[in-house]
Amino acid sequence: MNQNRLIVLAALSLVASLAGCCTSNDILGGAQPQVAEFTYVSNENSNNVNAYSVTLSTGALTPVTGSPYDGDTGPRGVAVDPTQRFLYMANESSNDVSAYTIDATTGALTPITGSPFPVGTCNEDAGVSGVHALGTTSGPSACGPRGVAVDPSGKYLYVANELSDNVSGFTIDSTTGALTLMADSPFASTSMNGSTGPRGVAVDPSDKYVYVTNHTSDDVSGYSINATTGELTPLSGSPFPAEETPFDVVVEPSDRYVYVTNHLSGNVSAYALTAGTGALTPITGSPFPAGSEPHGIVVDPSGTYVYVANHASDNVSAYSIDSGTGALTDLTGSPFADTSTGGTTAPYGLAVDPSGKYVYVANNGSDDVAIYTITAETGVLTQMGTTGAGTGPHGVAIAAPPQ
Amino acid sequence: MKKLLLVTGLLLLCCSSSVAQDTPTIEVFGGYTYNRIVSAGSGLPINGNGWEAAADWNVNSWLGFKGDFEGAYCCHQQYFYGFLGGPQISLRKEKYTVFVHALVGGAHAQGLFTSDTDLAWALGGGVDWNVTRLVAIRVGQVDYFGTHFLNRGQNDLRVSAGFVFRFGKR
Repeated sequence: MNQNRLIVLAALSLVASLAGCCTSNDILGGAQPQVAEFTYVSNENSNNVNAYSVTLSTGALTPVTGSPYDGDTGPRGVAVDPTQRFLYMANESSNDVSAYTIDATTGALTPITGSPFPVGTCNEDAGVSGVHALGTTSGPSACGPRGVAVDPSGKYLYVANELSDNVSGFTIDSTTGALTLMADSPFASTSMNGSTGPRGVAVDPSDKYVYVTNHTSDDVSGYSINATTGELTPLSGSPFPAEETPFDVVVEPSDRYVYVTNHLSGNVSAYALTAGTGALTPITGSPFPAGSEPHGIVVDPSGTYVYVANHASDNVSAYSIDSGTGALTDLTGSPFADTSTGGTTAPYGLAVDPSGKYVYVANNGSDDVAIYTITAETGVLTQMGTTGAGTGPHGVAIAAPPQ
Repeated sequence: MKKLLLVTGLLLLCCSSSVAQDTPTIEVFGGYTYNRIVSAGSGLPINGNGWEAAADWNVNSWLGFKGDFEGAYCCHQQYFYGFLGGPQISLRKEKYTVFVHALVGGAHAQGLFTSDTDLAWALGGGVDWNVTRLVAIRVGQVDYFGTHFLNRGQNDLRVSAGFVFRFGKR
């Protein structure tokens, strides 16, 4: 055997001896991750919020001691602040926001002094009109808070009020997490199409713009954020047209694209976000087909994949994002079935955990939470099972407090 | 480390009777790399696969200076980038070239929850099989690769292979 062949064989032997030696881990972390994760699920009928600790190696959910924690009436949207210390939950029927501190070690929730915080006075002047005049049309009731979002600075909380056609804005006390209504709150959501019916709300990563889906007027309201006060001013060109009954909205991490689920038309509207103005322009190819009655929508932390919970088809649509155009392409195998021994799942909200490994889906029909793992290289979902929740699970939020 | 030095020494001794190769001015390498990355936290090994690119400017037939870059990718969107430079010593024969290098520079890693950029260094060598005067196959390159993420030292291993393209003549 000549010298050249010996050299090649030596090299191959070395590589072969190394292959298969190692296990998946964190390049910069410990065998046990340096953060803990807790998943929270609002229950619209049992008026509470479930809290679970996440087993990071498997995604399994274990109820936190003391869970579920009482909310007010009709919990819907739920959000965690960027410091991972506070949880906020909109209560549609009682017109207020439940606020909690999150125990960094256990994930347990403790109501913040003053909670729940009313979303403000919801009366005729605030725009209750048309087909959405459910409840009274004057006085402090009939706001119908649904979606809730905290801005990236952690200073402001915004709530979409479905029944009063406006958006409530709060400042957040950085120490206690307590909420104080902004001086000019609520901020009207108006449209040439009449009553707007705001549902979903999202703040862009640059902390400059707020977007609200108007499920009655079939459009998306956009606002600029006053950096000093957090108060909202409508963007030029707002509201931006969507399809039938837009429900939820998300801005992807690079701050270039906005995605909206259209509940009745069964698709996702995709927009390019114009830097400097916040204006939304439909992307070529939009809207992109989804399942039946898409509801919640999320983007994974890497900004590569979009996931949509389809309420009437009991599955989750999954897409990859074209980084150059923002266009969505169905992942192989999408939509991924959402199944439960509890029967029809009827998923509503969903969330991706900060590590980008798991998706959790609130199953409003089967009263449980579906757990999916994400295949890192492809974004493909694999359902690992379900964990019981309260009655009528609606929204999902995940906290990852540093340990 | 001892094994690496032994292998390198044997290779240098075994083939001294072969005719020397022309010395190119610049050699450019591109190929596959495998990194055995030691977690800065747990100390457990992690497989990283990716690419390596390097350019060596030769002062004479045995001494050159190299710029070396690599990217290795792991699970759950984790990755590792290295950018190093330093001297390389080569033994050039008609059919093959043996080299050793000592490189210093920096590295950047993205873990599950955080990222870090810090000092890095590499000590190693390899063998190129000269297909023509201008093209060679890097049969294998092995490096001890040291990093200093999260204020702790890590001892990694790098193995690479690929193609070498040669330009100019000294």
